[in-house]
Amino acid sequence: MDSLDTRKDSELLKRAQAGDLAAFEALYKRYHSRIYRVLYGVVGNGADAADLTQEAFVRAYSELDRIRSDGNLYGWLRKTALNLGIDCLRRRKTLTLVSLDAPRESSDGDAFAWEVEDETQDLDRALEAQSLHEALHVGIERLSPDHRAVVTMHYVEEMPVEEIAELLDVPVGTVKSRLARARDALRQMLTVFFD
Amino acid sequence: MNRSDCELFRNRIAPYIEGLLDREEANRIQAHLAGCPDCRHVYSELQQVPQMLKDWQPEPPSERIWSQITMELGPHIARKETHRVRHRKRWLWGGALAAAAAIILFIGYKMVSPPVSVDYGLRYDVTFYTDADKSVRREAAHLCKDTSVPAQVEQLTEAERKDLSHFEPPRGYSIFSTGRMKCPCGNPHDALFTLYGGEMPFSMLLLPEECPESHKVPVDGRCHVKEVGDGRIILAYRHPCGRTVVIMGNISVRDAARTAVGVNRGR
Repeated sequence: MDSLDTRKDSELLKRAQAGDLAAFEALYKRYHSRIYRVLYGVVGNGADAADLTQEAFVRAYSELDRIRSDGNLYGWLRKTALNLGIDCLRRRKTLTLVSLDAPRESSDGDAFAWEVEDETQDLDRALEAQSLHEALHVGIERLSPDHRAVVTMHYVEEMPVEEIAELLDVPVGTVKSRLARARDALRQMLTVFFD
Repeated sequence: MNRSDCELFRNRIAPYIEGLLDREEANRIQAHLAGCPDCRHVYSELQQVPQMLKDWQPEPPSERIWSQITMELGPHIARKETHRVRHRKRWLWGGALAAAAAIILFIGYKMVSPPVSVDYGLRYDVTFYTDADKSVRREAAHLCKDTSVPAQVEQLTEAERKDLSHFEPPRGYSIFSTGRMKCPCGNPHDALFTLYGGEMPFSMLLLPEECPESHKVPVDGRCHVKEVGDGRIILAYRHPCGRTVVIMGNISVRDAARTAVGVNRGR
């Protein structure tokens, strides 16, 4: 029996490129949960994440011929998915693509600080969580979209900050600053689960 | 170490960990941490956050995503298939040419037929419901005109409600009512229906497996659509459970197909 589940990415990719839909389905089964998780982290809800996961794989299929069989297929899929997720956020106009640390001027010329959403407002809900899994879920959902996106990319997916900065088109310092704020907010929400 | 010192430093611990501070400030934080157990505790908790996040996994995605992907892939598969068929035919013809080189030289290259273009791009066939067309249209007219629950509707059983729960409305629509009604095929069995409200209401029938109309729809994963004028369509789809789903009303084929296959995108 030709079990596709155990085949290497490169082999499945070659077969998919030759039009073998079963090979593409095997790749889908292998990666769709991770892609969905990345997208969930970026867009913050299951319905959009499912929608975008679907779109990412449809796009991947339509561009299969452009993927090198010896390349990093997951990396390519993830980048495609992240671009879709970021576009989705931009369309929603909820992703602030300006550094929260950058000084900004009010109409009378005085510098003022950005107002940052209080990510700990659901602190009680997170603290009441019965499990770390639940608390993580609440914590991630409560982060602002731009914080959630960098947290997912850096802490969950372990992407380097430089790559994240390039994807989001923001300075590296902005990514680090968002990570610091998000880490602080999550620490407060997860406090009962620390050693 | 007084309390205000800690408050001052505590907000800078995360930026310190992320490497955002200049050397001078980083040294100050380090010195403070060395002498303050409370802030060291905060530092330790902050260090644990990324490790905890690695275990984060949202609720698993719907298993319906793949079926929706295959639906969307129709045109792409068609293009690839066309390419593949052409490619294969070229090879076949190449072999034939090699084997019969002398003949081909004799009869000339023009005698060889060019590869046949295969178009698998049709996702929606326009052939459905020839016999029951009128009765289905009548039901469609009735259901779409009157958004109240038809008189013959009976209460649904738990199992029936569960059956209908697989089908959710597309973006912009909501479920008005659900019920059981006499099947439009005229046989003594009932069909389940859902009436969807929106700008232009439409309805869905879930025909029982024994319904002869069900068997007119092939199990090929395709949505079969008939345009019945005034922007209205009748769409039929053979659900993997064996029953046929019929969507009727003024609704885009895309939205109807999404409802028919039971995938709820974009909400």
